[in-house]
Amino acid sequence: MGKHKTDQLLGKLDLMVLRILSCAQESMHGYAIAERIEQLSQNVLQVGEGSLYPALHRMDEAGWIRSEWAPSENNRRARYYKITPAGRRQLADEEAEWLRAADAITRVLRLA
Amino acid sequence: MGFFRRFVNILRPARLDREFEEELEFHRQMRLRKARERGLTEAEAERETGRRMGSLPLAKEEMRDARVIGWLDSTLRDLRHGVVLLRRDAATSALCVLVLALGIGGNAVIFTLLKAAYLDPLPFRDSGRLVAVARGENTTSSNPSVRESWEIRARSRTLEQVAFAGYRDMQLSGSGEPVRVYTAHVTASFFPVLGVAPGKMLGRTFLEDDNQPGRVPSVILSNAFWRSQLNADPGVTGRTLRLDGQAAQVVGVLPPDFHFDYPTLQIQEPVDVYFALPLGSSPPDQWGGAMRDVVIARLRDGVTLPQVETEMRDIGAALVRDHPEVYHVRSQPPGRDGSPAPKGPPPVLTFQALPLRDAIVGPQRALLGLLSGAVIVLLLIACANTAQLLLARSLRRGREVAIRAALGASRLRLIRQFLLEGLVLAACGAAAGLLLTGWLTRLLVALLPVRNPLLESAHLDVRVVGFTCVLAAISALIFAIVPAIKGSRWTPGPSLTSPVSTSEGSRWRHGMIALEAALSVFLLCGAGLVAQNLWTLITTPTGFDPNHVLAMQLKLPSGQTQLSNAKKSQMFQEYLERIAAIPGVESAATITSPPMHRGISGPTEISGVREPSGALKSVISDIHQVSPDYFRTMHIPLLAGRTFRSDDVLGRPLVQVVNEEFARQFGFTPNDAVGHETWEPGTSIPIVGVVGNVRTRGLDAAPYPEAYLSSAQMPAATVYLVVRSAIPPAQLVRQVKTAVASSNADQAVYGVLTMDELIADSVTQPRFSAYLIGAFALLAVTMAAAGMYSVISCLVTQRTSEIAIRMALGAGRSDILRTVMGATSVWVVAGLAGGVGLGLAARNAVRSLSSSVAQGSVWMYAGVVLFFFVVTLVSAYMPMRRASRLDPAAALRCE
Repeated sequence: MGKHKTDQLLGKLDLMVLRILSCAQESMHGYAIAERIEQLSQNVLQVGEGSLYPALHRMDEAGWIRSEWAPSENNRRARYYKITPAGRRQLADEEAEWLRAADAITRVLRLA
Repeated sequence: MGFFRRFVNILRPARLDREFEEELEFHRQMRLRKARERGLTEAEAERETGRRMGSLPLAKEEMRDARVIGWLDSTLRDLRHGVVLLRRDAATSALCVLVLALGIGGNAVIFTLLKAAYLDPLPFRDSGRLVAVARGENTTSSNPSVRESWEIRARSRTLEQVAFAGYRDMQLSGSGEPVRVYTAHVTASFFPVLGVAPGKMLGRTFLEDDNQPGRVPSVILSNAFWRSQLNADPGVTGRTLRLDGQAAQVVGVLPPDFHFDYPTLQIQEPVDVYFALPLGSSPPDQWGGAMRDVVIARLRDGVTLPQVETEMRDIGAALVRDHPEVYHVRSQPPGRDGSPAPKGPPPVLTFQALPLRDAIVGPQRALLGLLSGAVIVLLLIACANTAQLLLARSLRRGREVAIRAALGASRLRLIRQFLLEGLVLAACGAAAGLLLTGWLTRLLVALLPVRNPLLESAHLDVRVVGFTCVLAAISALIFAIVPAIKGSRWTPGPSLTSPVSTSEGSRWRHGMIALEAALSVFLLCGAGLVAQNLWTLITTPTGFDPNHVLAMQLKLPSGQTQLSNAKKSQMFQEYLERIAAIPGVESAATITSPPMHRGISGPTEISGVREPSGALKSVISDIHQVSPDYFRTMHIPLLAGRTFRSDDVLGRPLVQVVNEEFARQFGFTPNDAVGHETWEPGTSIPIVGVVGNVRTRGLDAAPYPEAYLSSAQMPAATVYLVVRSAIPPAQLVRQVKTAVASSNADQAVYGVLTMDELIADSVTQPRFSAYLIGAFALLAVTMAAAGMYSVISCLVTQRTSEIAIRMALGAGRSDILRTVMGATSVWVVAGLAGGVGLGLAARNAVRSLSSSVAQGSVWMYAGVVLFFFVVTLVSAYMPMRRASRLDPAAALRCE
């Protein structure tokens, strides 16, 4: 039951990733993004790599984020992602839509 | 940009994969570190990380999907899969490729010819604005006469650089055996209008000055002639050659790539020597006659073709108006190509300006059309054949399809898989076809019944390759669509469990068979028609006995053409006597135009024979001048009266011998005709004898009225020599040449042919059509037979258990055959009927394209049906035998 719920929320993975990248001061690698989502959601949302990385690559191709290889803290090369202006526009759109939908659902739940 | 990167990514899957792995590995390492930091043991950390990370291959696959163009990537993978499958079933694949190579390659060859005929630029400067002028009088067409060419040049305002050229044989003498050369007599504008630049040749082209009469004639040599006869002498300009006994000065040598010798323009052979045509200030008097000019010109700037056409029509009308004495029917000069005598309305003379390309290609359009039709039908048959081979295979693959579908492949994806396999086959076929195209094109051009330098220049280029690729793609669509749709259909249960779907798709396969049968029978009907035409022609009685007769040409050296008639006839008489003296020669004679070649024709009237209207009856007849022994040499029977006698000589009254058709057209029996006189103002010639009809105008033309005059009374300068002898031709030619040379060392003997060859030459075109369409039809029938064999044997395999059960239950052999053959034979018969119907419907088109005179006879069509029936039986025999000899017990145990 619980797993099902988090899956639904993960459908908004793009939105969360964009949001996190938009707040970050510098570019982040995939692990950092995953960790940040878990941390901010207080471990409610556990992001599997099977969803996160395809999502990152899709957004990279869509031009919302940009990636580059750079050395990381554990002596390995890592791929770092950074939001682009197009990504910020997309974030604004998706965020507004999500908030409106969440708002609507909340109202239905309260009034029904 | 993104698209490009995703495209490139398809091509480097390994690198992409490494990057994904590296990224995921980094993630894993970070997780491990985190787990260890939480105090987990190494093994626990590994386990937890493994659990949390999930399926990495799936993740990688999804990342890959994000990074490449999905449809293209999967297409390439399907393609690879397709190639593997095709290689697994190598025999069928090879058969498909072979069949497609024939179909596609055949079309590529014909496209190469069409390209040369219609698309490639003509080898002349700005050739789009060049025109050739043709002449039409009443219903006949020809080239303009010398005077008419002159008039066009003088009167036209829309054309510039009007050039005309007359072609004739001459003799080059002065060193060794006299050589015959083919010459053109051209105006100074001839080379400039065709764009021969003086810079690219040795010497110069003609100047207006060269055309003045009374000068030593200037000549320009073709490159080939310069090399073969003058050893490519670089200092040839200024040299003097003796042509027809007269001096001519060489002023230039043409570049090697210059050719203007299109038989379709009535230029029969490559030209050796170009003469400057002497043009006086007064117009020449040659209104008619055998001498015709090729007229070419360039449109003036700003002038359009319709304007030129209008002007040419006006010039024709003006000529008729200004010269009624020429164009009025009674004084029609001889040599009007035998146009039927116009009665009543005034003659219509038109000139027609044709774009040069149309003039060159035009007469061969029918041939090209015939070839195109044949290869298209061949390709359709090839497609039908491949389709049904692939259909059989796609049905055998029912289980593979069901598994792929069960694993989530969409119907569209399955269809695409089949289409891709078809594309691979078509590409292989096209490649194989292209390899052969260059070679086949050259072969076909060499076999063409009509020489055309334009087609000889046909070559493979990027457009042919492009056309072939498009054609391959289209044929792949045609032949793979049915197997794809049928093969991709599956039903979850049965497809996975039963080994081969049984009757599935057999209606389609039978449909293909019917189509193949129809198309190949259609081709067979066409082939039968042209074969019957050829047969009709070669079995037409020629009216003479061609066996052991050798024909060759003799033309008096030019210095001697101006000799008196007495001298001329004496010279020929002397040749004939010396030839007749050769041991083994039965007889020898001369004639101005041999059988299968039309002579000079003109209107003839007989005194006292009138039309109902009261006017003298006029018949157009061919006139020949023959030596007295001609009829005896050719074995042409004398029907009434006498032939020429030794006392019918110069100085004695002219006499003539006519043929049976001549007498018939005037309403006489042969016996009645003797004694009548043809009527000419001032002179009349009595008919002394009537001989049998000879197919002078070719085997496809009805006997024509002909009149023979004695060359002893009316000699000609150019004659054909016919010699009847049992001596082998090669030896005879040598002896004849020696005999002639002993009489006149300047006399060239050329154009040697046996009379059989002469007749064979006259049916080159119908023979070519018959062989070509016959070859196509046989190919088509072979493909259809292979198709039928594969369908029937496949049916037998599919129904083995059914047959076995029926046999076990007591069915006889004939019942089994009926079961297996029943459906198939219905379809084959339907195809056969369709093919014959198609053949009958297209009969007239085939007849006109192959200029065939024969009507298809009932027997011919019956023969086609019978032939196809036998082919069907032969291809059905093996599988039927297998079915009827089936051992029920063994067959059922196998199931």
